[in-house]
Amino acid sequence: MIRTTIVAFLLLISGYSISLAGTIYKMQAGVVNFYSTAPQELIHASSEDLRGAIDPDKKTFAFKISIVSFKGFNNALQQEHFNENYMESTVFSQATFIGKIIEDVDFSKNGEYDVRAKGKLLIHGIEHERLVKAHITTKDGKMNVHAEFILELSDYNVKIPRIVDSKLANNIRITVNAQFIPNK
Amino acid sequence: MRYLLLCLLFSSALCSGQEPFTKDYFVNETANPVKVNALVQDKVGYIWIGTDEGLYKYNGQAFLKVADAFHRPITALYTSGNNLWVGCSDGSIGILDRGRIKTVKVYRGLSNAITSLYASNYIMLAGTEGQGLFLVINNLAQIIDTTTGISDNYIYTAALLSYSHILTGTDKGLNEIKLEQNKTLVHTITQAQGLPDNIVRVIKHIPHTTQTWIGTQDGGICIYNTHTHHIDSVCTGNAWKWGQVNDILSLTQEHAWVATEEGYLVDVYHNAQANKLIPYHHPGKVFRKLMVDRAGNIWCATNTGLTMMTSEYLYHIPLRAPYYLPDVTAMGWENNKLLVALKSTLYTIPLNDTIPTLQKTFALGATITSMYKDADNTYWIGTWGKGLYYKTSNSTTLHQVTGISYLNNESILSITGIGKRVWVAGLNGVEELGITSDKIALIKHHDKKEGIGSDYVYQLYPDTKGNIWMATDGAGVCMYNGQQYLHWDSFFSKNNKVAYSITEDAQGNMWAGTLYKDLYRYQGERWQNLRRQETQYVDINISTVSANATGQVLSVYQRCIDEWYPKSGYYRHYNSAMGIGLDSTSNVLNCTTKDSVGNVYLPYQHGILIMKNQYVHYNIRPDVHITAISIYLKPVNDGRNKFAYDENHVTFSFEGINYINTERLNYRYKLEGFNNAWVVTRDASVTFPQLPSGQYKFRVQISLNPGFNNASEDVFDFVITPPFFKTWWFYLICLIVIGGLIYLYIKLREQRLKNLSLLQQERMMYEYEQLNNQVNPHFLFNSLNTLTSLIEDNKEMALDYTINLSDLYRNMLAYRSKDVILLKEECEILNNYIHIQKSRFGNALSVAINIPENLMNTKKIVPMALQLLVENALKHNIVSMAMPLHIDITADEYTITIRNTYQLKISKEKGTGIGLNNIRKRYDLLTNKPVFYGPNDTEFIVTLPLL
Repeated sequence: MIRTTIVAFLLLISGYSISLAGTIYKMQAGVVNFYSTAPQELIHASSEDLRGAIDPDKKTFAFKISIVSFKGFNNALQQEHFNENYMESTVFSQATFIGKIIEDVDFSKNGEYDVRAKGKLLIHGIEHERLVKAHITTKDGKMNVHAEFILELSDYNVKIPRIVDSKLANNIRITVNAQFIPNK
Repeated sequence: MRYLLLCLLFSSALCSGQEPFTKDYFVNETANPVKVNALVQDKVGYIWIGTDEGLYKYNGQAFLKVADAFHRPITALYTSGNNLWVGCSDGSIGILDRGRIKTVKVYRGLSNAITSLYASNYIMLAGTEGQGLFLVINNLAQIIDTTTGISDNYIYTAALLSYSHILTGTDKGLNEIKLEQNKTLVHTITQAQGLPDNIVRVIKHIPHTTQTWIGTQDGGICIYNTHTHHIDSVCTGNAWKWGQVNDILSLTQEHAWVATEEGYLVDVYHNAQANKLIPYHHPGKVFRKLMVDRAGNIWCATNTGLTMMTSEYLYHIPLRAPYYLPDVTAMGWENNKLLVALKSTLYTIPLNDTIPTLQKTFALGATITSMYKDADNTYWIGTWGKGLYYKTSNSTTLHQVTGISYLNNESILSITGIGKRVWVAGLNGVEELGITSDKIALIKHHDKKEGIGSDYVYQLYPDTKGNIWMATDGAGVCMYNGQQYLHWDSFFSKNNKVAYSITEDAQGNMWAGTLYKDLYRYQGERWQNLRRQETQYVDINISTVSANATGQVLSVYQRCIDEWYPKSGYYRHYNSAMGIGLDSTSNVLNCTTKDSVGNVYLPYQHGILIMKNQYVHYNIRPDVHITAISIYLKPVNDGRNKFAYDENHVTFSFEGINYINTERLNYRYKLEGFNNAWVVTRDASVTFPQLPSGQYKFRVQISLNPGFNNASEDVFDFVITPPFFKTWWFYLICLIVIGGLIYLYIKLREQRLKNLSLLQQERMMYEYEQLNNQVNPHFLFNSLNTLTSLIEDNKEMALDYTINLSDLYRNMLAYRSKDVILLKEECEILNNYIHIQKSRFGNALSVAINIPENLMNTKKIVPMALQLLVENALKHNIVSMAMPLHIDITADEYTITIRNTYQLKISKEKGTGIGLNNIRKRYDLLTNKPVFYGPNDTEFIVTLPLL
């Protein structure tokens, strides 16, 4: 369901943009990292399975990532817990972030921009309005996006058993790095 | 351990030297964090808390979850009058109705969360996440969104300045909306117009001004003037370092608090000249909303629950070693520096430092007991056993006062001054010193003999009228007005004339703290004892009484502090039960000081307390609310106040609403109409079993203090209706029925008496007839003729005839006066008569009597009826041998019938004609059974009923 929505959305904005002569930027490569810095254990995992698109004219964007694609856990058991106990990735396979860019920036010019991206962040089947600060570097038609933000697990109904709450922090730090190129 | 906890608590806010106390509350009993989205206090006093897990009600003691069938996160709250409006994350809007959230049907299209809400009878305004503004005026709904002209549909906040003037904050700037007759005018203000950031998250109108606070996502705070459209950047851009603004609480026109996402509470002072911002950091917390309750507590909605802050009335300066409470002997104030004497060493605490510390200034050879700064900024320091020292403002060295014999090696208790005079109290009385630039001279020595009444003066206090007040050991309070010493020792009991401390409040009233007798207040002519009734629980030995510049009076005890609000008569009570680490205060007498604006500083276990001036008028009076009325312990839910006579076991449950000292709440109640005496209780419910029917008024009051003056009250009027058999209409019906019965009885009785008299009359007539008959000469003549012939023919028959004749007459005499006689008796008369007539007519007359024997003794008949009928038959019919007369008498259970051959005489015998009629009338009076008579072809038949 979510997948089809995302695909439909991407098609929609891309279709629109192409037909209306604007250029949309498509993600060439992207990495998402998360860090949970609990007192007893540092959990870190990353995924390169990030997909996304930005429409610089309409100031809209869409990202999605598959939850099972996260790798690099301390051990296999941890990864299993992540997928089965916390994220329930068979039920909620995707995380998405769709929204608009607040700042009115001309991305066609080379330069570095600090922008705020605001949209609906869907994780674990729960959607919240989020505002994320992002640093965008444009050079010769390519766009590099870097963003960092904090997720509160309790916001997304990710229940941490009392017994492991010293191993898993409620606040998860997320970093995103992605390169975009114009979709020709 | 407690100390450690306190340190943790204090370390949470280390951006300023002095900080308010904060206390965290979990809304859930299980201490699970719950994200709080909205806070309001209603008219009754309850704090309503909108959370991700629904709506909670808080009375200062317990959080109660409000029933909601939908389990929606509550994102906005608004209260007006008695109504509480609720905005939810699914776009629905509800209203609290009898303890439940009832969804209001406003607009089906709303599906995004409500971010802000305003509602009254005439207007409703709701800001939504992505669906614009929803506005209802006079039942006419409209959506204000980008098609109307506002810059974005995602509404962070909306402020209703008037019914036609709305400000709203979006991702793309501030929109000022004016509703006119047929159009909606929108004016958008963005960064291009000087807004620090386009994302406007908070808009808060400053009451009684044209200014509104604007809080932004990344650009800090500014003030927008809706009149001049000018933007005053209070703290914007890079100057604002405390993150995304989530809420602003405007307290006065110049003072506000700002809550941020990054865990800051920023105290903002703003006026035309300058802005001052003091941030307090609470790492890990997200402050989402702010609210101030009526008592001046500031409540912060956080990501985990609630945080209460004492910033409107109490701050503290946490201090570490060498600070040690038992060593603190005196305090003073100088140019934003606090002076603290720890025994013989004087320390200064610069209050502008982020982390205030004790800085050693100098040490004396003796304990410092008192400090006083005079009008020339000369510091006077009193010691224990080493006399008086002073330090002028332009020097750093201390000088000992010499040349005044009373002060040599004196132990100083208190120093004060008026103008160029300094007053010093020691163990040998009070010295009044005159200060000139080159000389300190003794002007007057005051002591017991002079008129103080005691040589020991614990405190000297100059009032605003120029008098010197003295709190003495042994002479109570003494006032010296320049000429004479005034005493009120009549007020203090004989063996207790010890006053420790004295002060004047902002209204000019004097307050005195005493040994054993607690607090006194002097208003006009008399001292009033404010001794508390709960003294068995609290120590009453006041060490210090002091007043701040806004009128609050502090009385400091060993383990607690009372802060009196003299106008209302209530006091805030600070003790360890507050959970802010206020365990003990100094037991040194009058160890306190005030700063230049009148805030009071007091030492306590973990540093210095600051009892702030309160520029907003707060009401610390607790509120009371009747929460439930139960009949036979079953709550009445339908709001009725009329109960049936058997619903007379009534229970009232009530609760106190108070956010300061919930442990000290007292209730009193009375049920007017039942018992007019107040009953004081600490229970939160009362039951009245077996209430008689009547009209009642249940009143409950609440107080923090033992007295109930100005106490808040809740009232419930109700009626217990009388049972139906005690209502006026029932009495009326009874009266009518009884009256009817009596009337009926009288009527029937009248009827019976009338019948009786008629019967009497008939019988009299009959008797008269009978008498007539008895002396009927024909009958007698015939009888005697018959007898004559019988005497000749048959002697025996003649004798028999005579016996029968006499029997007839005797029976007639015996029965005639009776109403009825037995059939047997009637037959006897008849037989006698027949015998007489048979003797006369012989075979010409034949009578057949055929009456069953069992009827003879059971049935009754009118006397002489049969005889009369037989006589009639003989009278009217031919009786001869050729035409014999047959008379046939038969009877059954109900009737007796007399038939005779119908052969009328040609010449009628003269009769009175009343025989048959008389019989009928007599029967009519006795019974309603009918009497028949009349002839058929051959017979004359009479049927009489048997009785």
